[in-house]
Amino acid sequence: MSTLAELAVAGLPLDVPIIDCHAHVGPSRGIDRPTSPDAVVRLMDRIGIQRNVISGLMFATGVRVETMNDWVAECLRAHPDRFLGYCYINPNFPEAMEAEIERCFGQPGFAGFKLHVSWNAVPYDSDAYAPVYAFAAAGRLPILAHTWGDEAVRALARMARQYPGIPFLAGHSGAGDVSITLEEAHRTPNLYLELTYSGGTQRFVQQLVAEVGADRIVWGSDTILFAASHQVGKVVFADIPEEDKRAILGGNAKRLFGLA
Amino acid sequence: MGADPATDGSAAPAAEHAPIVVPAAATAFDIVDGLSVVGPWRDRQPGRPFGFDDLLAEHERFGIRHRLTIHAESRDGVPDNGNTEMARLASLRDDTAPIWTALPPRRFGGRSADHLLADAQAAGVAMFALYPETHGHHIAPWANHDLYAAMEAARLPLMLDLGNPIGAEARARYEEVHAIATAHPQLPIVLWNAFYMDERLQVPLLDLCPNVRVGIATVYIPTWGVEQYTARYGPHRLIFGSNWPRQSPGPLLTYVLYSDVDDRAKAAILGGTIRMLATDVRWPVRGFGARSLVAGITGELPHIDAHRAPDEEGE
Repeated sequence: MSTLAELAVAGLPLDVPIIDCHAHVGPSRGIDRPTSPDAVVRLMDRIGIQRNVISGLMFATGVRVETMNDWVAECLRAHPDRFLGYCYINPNFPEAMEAEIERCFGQPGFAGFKLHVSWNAVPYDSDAYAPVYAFAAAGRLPILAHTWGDEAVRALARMARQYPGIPFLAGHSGAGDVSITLEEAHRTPNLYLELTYSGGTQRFVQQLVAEVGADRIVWGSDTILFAASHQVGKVVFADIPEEDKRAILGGNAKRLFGLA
Repeated sequence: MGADPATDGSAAPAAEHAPIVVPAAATAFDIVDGLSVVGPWRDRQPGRPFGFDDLLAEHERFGIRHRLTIHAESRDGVPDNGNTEMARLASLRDDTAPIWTALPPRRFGGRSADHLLADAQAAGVAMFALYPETHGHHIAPWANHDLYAAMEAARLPLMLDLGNPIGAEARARYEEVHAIATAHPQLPIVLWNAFYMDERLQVPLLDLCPNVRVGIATVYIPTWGVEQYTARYGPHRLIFGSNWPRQSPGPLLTYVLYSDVDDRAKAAILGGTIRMLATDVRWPVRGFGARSLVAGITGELPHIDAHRAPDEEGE
């Protein structure tokens, strides 16, 4: 049996059911790339990604969250076995929040929330997110949140400790001041480290595994901004056990998202 | 989002697991690392490797046999010191070509373009890099005409680090590149450190300036990037590099290897194009040789006349 690194060097799909916990769909301002559901699935197939957990791109429209969630729903309808959806919420529009949560989760395939403090400028420990946390806690739904080794991680971790039944995924773990992320991860068992980071190499995967263990790490790519084909390299070439790579690339997310 | 190399796991403890080694035979391509760096740098974290032997070991892991390498001292400190050391390191092997950091001739005490290129020829240099932010000089053609003209005549590529800018700063940098590329259309230019959402800035430039190429190290890694650039321009406008030690060859290799283009295009990106640029230089680049020699053509290499205009070359 080939190792994951050997398969990658040969350009062959990896023989592990990969789950991309941080993927995007739909158009975005500033770039011109194929974004149809079929195009994204073609990308996934080349690497061996079984499922993308997707949200709309905040770059496209930070206001019309309904539009972004509609792009997600379109993918979920087109390929229900290849996508799961994050419901994106903008807490600056509280009057529309609960209705949008109901609308999202009234459709098959929505499996969690995506929050982005840098876009909305509302800290994760603000009361504005209360409907999100209540809904997620009731369903034990994962929440992926943008962080950068900064105060956002601390705020997210505070919420994670307040809602121990929710898996919180700290996006871009390893970026910024990684010591903050690690400190909060040590204190917060339901805070998971998501790996999307354009500058990351296998060395930082090795560091995170050594610090918190492979079972606390999930893989993400930020597709369609930067490429999943790049992001997978830092895991497959890391000097960590093969079973840790498989857990990071898919096993842990499978558990968190309740996939069979 | 963006790269933050300064915090890239530099303090990672030594791996207890056996290092991954990918046999060279497992890679179907003759890979050339178009950008690697040796030497200590200012904010290097303890434990982070930077030596030439470390670079060779990293390349060995990925089956990379040839490289273009710059010394951090030339980039970040005193160019002459780093260039000299890079020439010494490259002279120890037959698979490594130096990239030198150049300073423009038009400054107090500056050496003429002829002298710069003569030194570069003696060392088998593959490329000149300019770091105008660090070394405090213009890169506009009006200020550096002598240097660019000499490089153009010698077909010595110019490497420009864009600095991962966004917004107005990015537009200004691309304006500068356009000015150089159009004033010196036979000067090969390789851009590194572009932001991964720069495609709307790059496409007009690449459309108008066939002498400009884009390096993917320093994480120019847009989704569909290999496919879109190859479809529009053919396979010779993207160049693989690792930017080791801040980055690693591994993720940048998978970026190319998993792309939806044919093997011919992958071969060009992973080494063919940079090899072509190196062998096109009017002197034997260390580790690569000159095109005339590669092609088996005997005879002396052309004499370098830095002041000869491109249209006087008789080609």
